[in-house]
Amino acid sequence: MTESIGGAGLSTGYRVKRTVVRTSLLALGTAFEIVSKSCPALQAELGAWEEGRTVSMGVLPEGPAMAIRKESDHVNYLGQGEHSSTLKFLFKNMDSAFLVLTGQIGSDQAFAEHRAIVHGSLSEAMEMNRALALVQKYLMPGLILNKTTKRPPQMKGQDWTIYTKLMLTLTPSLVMNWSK
Amino acid sequence: MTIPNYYEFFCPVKIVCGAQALKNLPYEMEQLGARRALIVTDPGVVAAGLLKQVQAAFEGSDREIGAIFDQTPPDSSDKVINQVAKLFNEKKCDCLVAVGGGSSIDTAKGINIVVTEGTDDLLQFQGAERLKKPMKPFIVIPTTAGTGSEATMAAVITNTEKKIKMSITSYKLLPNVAILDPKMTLTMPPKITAATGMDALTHAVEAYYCMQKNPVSDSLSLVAIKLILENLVQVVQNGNDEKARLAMANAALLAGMSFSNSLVGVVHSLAHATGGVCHVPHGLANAIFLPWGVEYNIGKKAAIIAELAPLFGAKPTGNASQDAAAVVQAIRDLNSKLKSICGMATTLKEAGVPEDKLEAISKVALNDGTMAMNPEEVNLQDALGLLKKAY
Repeated sequence: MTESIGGAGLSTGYRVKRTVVRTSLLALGTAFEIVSKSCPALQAELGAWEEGRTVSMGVLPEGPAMAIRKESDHVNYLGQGEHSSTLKFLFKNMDSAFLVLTGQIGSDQAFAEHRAIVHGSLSEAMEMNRALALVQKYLMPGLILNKTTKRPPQMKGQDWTIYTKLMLTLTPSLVMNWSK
Repeated sequence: MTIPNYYEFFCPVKIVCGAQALKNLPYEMEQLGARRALIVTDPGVVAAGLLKQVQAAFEGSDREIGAIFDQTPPDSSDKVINQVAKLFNEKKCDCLVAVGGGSSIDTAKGINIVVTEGTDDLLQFQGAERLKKPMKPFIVIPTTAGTGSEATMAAVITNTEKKIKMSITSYKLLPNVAILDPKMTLTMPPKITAATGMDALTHAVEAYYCMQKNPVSDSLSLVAIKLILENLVQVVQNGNDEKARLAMANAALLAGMSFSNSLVGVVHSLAHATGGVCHVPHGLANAIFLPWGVEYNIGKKAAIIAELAPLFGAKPTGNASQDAAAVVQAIRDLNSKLKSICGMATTLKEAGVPEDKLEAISKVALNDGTMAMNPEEVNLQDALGLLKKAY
């Protein structure tokens, strides 16, 4: 009889996926903060959020997680962990998170396939989903968005300014947020 | 027909269906290890004499009714649920029997959470799969043929303090037994029969083309659609037709099993929002939005919607878009027929929705969870456009 590998004895493949998921969550949270400070469409979406709303995204049972919080007209990346969030996007396992965060499937499909669940208000989850779509518009390549979204977003006018700002500031911000 | 990359399906509800099915209620309680039932129902069910039939089913049995709550409001709320949960504990009940439509069933689901989890705060269970403890035995006796709540894992409950609708989904919310007795739906007036029947049709059709569709839900949807199209007009014309009533009860159950697992889309998003903002009954709102919602999705799902054409009496042409459009037309024709028979509204205007509320409805609809499962993207302008068409 072989022992379950459960928590101990993780395979290299699993560790790689965990690292990718953790890094992707960091990038997503960091980009969320940057885009929320310059994108009027995202700021309009965040207008419906109450001050202090905290949303986390993570992997069950105790995998990587990150949280953001609405503060004034934008969101701040809080760092790793759930940070007492009242709305949680939870992937049921590392592979499901990996599929979504590497752009292999979209978030709607992940929910449709029960790979992810929401703890908290579904109405707030829909607001978060729309906000996430606005962030992914600048973060994800068009090729991936064509595959993972129902109606791929179009880049026009001011969008390129927001995109350039994100590309210029994302890497230094990731370094700063690495240990958060 | 395609098999999705991945799907899940769960429905452990025992179905007890047919003439005299109600008489098996005490036996089903015994099978579940329950002795004293709390019956949850509404004033309409009492007025129609249906509660007496449920009480009569206990005659000669060793099971008993511990308490009856017959004041379920049209929208179940946490306040009512907490009040009835106290009654459940005070009267030492050990199982729940819901007799009625969606509201009574959702109220009973809410009571089950409160008594099982030992809490009065349902807010903490919002979302999916948050219930961990084994629930109390739960039997449902539907008195409408539409909601399918007797086979769904969701409950929508109003939070009176925050004035929000809480959506709670969990496999543990599914009833243990659904008793379908044709006598229990005989008293439904024609207009309600029509609207609830269209509710069931909406569940079956949306489940067939929305994002979580799978082979199991597809098979359930197809039979549900067939039963509805064969029996809905008949049962609206002649409410005493027990065979047609039973067929509709089965259709609603099958559609409920289907959409509980494959979910629904923009028709439901708009119907939930219209109900929330303007109090249009859910079934009626679904009837109004169904042709518009199906039409909206033809661009993405023409081939799948076209598969339904033969069921709707349309001869397949081989052109998916044309066949899908024929399905839309057949639904419009059905709505028109029901309008001519019983006066069921077919537009939002006829349903009493003020035009200046459309914008508010569109905003609420956008935050409805079902929107995420619609195949075609829906933004604020799209939702408003659909509402204007349905007006």
